[in-house]
Amino acid sequence: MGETTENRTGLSRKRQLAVGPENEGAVASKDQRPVGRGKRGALAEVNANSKRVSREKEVQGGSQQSVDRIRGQGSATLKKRKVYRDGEDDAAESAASALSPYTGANVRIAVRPNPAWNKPKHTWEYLDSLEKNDPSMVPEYSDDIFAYLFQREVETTPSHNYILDVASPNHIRNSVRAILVDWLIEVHHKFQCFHETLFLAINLMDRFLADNAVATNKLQLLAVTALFIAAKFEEIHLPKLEEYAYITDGAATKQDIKTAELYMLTKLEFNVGWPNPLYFLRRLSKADDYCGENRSVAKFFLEYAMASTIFLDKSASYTSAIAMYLARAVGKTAQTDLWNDNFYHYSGSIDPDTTPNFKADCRALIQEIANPKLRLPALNAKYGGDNADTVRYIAWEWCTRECNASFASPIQL
Amino acid sequence: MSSQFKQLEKLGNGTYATVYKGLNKTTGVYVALKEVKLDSEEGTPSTAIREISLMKELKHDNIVRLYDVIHTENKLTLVFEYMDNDLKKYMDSHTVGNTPAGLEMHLVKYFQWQLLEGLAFCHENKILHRDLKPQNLLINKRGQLKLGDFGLARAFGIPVNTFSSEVVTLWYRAPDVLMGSRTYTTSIDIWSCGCILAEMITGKPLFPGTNDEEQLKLIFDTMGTPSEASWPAVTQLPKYAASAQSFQQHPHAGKDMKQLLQAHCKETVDDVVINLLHGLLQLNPDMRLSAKQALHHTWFAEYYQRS
Repeated sequence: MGETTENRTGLSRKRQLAVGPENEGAVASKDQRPVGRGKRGALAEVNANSKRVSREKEVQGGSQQSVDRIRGQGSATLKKRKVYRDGEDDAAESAASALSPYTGANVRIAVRPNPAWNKPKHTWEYLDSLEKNDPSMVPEYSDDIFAYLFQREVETTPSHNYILDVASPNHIRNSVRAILVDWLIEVHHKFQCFHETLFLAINLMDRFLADNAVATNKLQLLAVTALFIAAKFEEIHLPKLEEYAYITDGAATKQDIKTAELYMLTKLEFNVGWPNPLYFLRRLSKADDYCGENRSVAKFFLEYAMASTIFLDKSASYTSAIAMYLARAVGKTAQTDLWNDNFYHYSGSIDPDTTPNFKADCRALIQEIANPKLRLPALNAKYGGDNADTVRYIAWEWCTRECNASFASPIQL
Repeated sequence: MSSQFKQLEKLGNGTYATVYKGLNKTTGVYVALKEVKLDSEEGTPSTAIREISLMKELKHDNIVRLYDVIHTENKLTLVFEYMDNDLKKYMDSHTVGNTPAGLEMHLVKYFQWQLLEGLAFCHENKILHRDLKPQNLLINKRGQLKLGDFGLARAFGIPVNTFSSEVVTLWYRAPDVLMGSRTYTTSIDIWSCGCILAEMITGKPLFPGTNDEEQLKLIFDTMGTPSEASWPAVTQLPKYAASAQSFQQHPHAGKDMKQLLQAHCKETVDDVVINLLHGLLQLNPDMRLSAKQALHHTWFAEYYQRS
């Protein structure tokens, strides 16, 4: 603990993010002036894109607490708020079943079915059996767990793509989200948190943004709060609230973050747990014989996909499959198939040739990496920047070649 | 408090909250109200975030149901299904004079079965409980047993990450965790299940240590001392060297568990339950049964053969 704390308190690069339209694509450095414009001004600019002018009124909450502006409502009426209600039916059902006599083994809830398992067409190897002596792979439960994760991700993927869907009431610009995600990558790296924490933070932020209107000058508060919550869910040693506030360079106070935290949790109905794409990627790695190079490249593709908007509303397992597929294409040798029945099985029935949009999404990601429209300096630096032989360079070079060859080789996307 | 619920007597203090009995005024149904204070320096306690989000995912007959979360000013109130008692209090009420007495064997079996059912469901849903003990096992008048208090619980990925070793109440803490292992998985909960099974039989905690060293000593006295042969890599554990001094000179195979339990049990302790107990209380975490395997142990034949 001591070590990490020291590093954390030694933070030097704090900054406010300027995410207003005039800064599109640019990241404000520490000495740049923070978004100091009036709320109304900032908002009007945002609303110029979406037609929801009414939102402007909601957000003019005067000097109420910052979170009021996030939610766009006054707090006075919300002194008491229900944040989670289990279905009444469920309660009744539970009471009824409690009264029924004990039924022995029948009480056991059946294992959730995964349609992939019943596909007679495909044959796959039971790779978990190779790891039956490695308890960290939880071999006995891994099928149950993944069956559950495939189901759970359906419930915890953002409701829609609020970036690409310009008609969304909560639409914000692509470049604005990129600034937020890239800043999260930077802060997360500085805080030395688990990789899972970063991806969870991005997921929480996207889920919230898809369903809630947020004023431009509160987006950084939202991002830092998403990381604050994700860390509490994933980490063993938590960065202090003070450090989160510090890293925003005054854009969010401790109290702002505390208030926003509760508001965000409420809006998400405390559904924090989300099947992390890293779980799926590791499972695919198993089908890939744990090839280390493919894994590193896949992790870069995955992180880029998380930062890009194409995959915002896609499930974690799908995005992981894309990352693994592309990584295998990068490392392809003539003899190997890019995908086989093992990949099909462990990806949750993804077949590049038949899964809708799979190859189109691959092409879109390749194009984005080859000709980036978004500025993602922290992400690129993390994977080695422009130096040759780094993961980013290898991936970038390959993507560029693919684009130049119009995807003719070697995978014929 | 919400006007929907009438707050009744205090039921106890959880790891980070106070629990009251409550009455739903509309339906007349009793509930347990767990109040979490929000005045902390660090915002909403991580324990509350984990407990609420994890319990929302866990709907099972042997896991206490979370009905509702209410936010009022500076506290969160978690509305749980009401249970009449917990296993600790229930066992205490079985004391004969000042002598603790175990539960009837058929009840021990029924409780242990339900404990393992609830736990298997947690593990299938990638959740570790990490604080199984009689106080956290709630029971009702129909003999149902449910896992409660998920304040220390957490979700795990595959492969499982390293976690904190400061988990589980001392008496129910596995030897690998006591020796500083942070790479535990589902086996951490299984050890606790073994301790609980023995405690239900005799009415006495199996390993009532007062500190980490004594806890390990009690465990090794009964279960035997570990060696690289019986537990590969045990010597690599962070606190192995410190704890090893006490037993390295005198390695032994442990005591006869059957005799040990029989001394405090009126009914006959049969070999089958002792076999299960040994499966749960393997020193080497990799050798412990899983909850799923334990449910298929012969001792439970009368349950699983019914279906």
